[in-house]
Amino acid sequence: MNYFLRLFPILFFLAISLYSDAAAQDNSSVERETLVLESELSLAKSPIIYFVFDLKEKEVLLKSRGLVLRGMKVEDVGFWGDPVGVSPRPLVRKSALFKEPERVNIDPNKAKEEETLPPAASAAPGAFDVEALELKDMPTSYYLEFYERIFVSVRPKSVGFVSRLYAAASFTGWYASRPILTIWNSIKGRPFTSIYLEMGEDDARAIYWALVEKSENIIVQP
Amino acid sequence: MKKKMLVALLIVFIVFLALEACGFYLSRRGSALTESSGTEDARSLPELKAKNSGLKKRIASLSPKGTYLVIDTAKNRIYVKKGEQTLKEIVVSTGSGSVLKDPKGNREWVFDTPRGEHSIRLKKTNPVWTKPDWAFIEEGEDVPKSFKDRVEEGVLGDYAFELGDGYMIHGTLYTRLLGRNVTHGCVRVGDKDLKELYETIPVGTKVLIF
Repeated sequence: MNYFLRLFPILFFLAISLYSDAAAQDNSSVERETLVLESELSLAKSPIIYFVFDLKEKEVLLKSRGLVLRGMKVEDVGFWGDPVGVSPRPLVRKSALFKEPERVNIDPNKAKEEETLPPAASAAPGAFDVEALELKDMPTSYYLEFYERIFVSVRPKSVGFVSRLYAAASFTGWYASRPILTIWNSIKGRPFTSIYLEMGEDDARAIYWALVEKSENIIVQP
Repeated sequence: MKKKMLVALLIVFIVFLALEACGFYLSRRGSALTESSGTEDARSLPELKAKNSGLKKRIASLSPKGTYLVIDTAKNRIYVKKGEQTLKEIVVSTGSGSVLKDPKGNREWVFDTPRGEHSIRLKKTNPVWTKPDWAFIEEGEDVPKSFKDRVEEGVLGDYAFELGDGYMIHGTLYTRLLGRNVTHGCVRVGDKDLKELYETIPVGTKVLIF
């Protein structure tokens, strides 16, 4: 009994502190949700398409008017640098890691030449390879730069030994270089945030396809 | 010599680790500062939850009422939707993304299907195509001066839905290209699906294109 009486105040204060800590966390997560919803409301009021990079829930949502047009799963997330506010962020630029998809330039002279060719040469039966920019032409490894120097690096989910080895090396390199970049940007007095997203190939391509430069998007950090 | 090399390597490694530690500290310090800076006024949890519920309702009120169309230009699909439910999926053709430059001028066209929110402004039966300048330039022909030389019948199918700025959802003669990005920005639909759309989709229906 004596033991219990001695321990009681300690247990009481411990319980109070745990409760208040949990309540504060609850409050802060609800506050954060409020900010996200306010940001989304500002975007949903306009007739635009926008992305919500919800890194906390590991998903990327393509939305319009608050409706989810397409949901994409994020396999893995890495986050480094200055925290990201939830206000809408314009996309400054997107760039492929290897080859940038190129638009086809139509040559009017070619159309004239094809008209003069005999039918057998101008239209090969069964073959209809179109000259166009299609989803399959989109890269799976690329960088996105959002306003206030938020860099998002998207990489495909690794499949097979070589791909896994490359992904591991890429991820290690990413983590090793971030602190040095943080110091460099801190010395320069510039904001710097780096985010690493590993996604399925189709989803990675779909983001590159639909994400337009200057479009506003929301990033919810983990 | 070997010992000097090892010492040098060790120094480089220690410097690298020190930089990593500094960078890590700077990054974490930034997070801690922002997390602790309250952006909201001090409100109670029930108040915040009530506010969030209100915000969710306001966002939901902005979504299209009744049936609406979602066009995925990457997959070349139209989804006929009502709320969250997909009523029908249609294979279509959308913009090729190709670029055409006018050899005689400074004009340039990019054949993308326009993204964003649109609405069906007009429904037509037996639509007639008034060929724009690019249709002639693309074929290497001179742009005609007379309006009647621009009119072409029977290429847009039996029905068309106008989205504005010359963009339409219409029929096609090239049904084997459905599912591919081949158009000049319009959305081409097969005959059967086009008829069904015409019978079920009213003027004013919202169209979300991405």
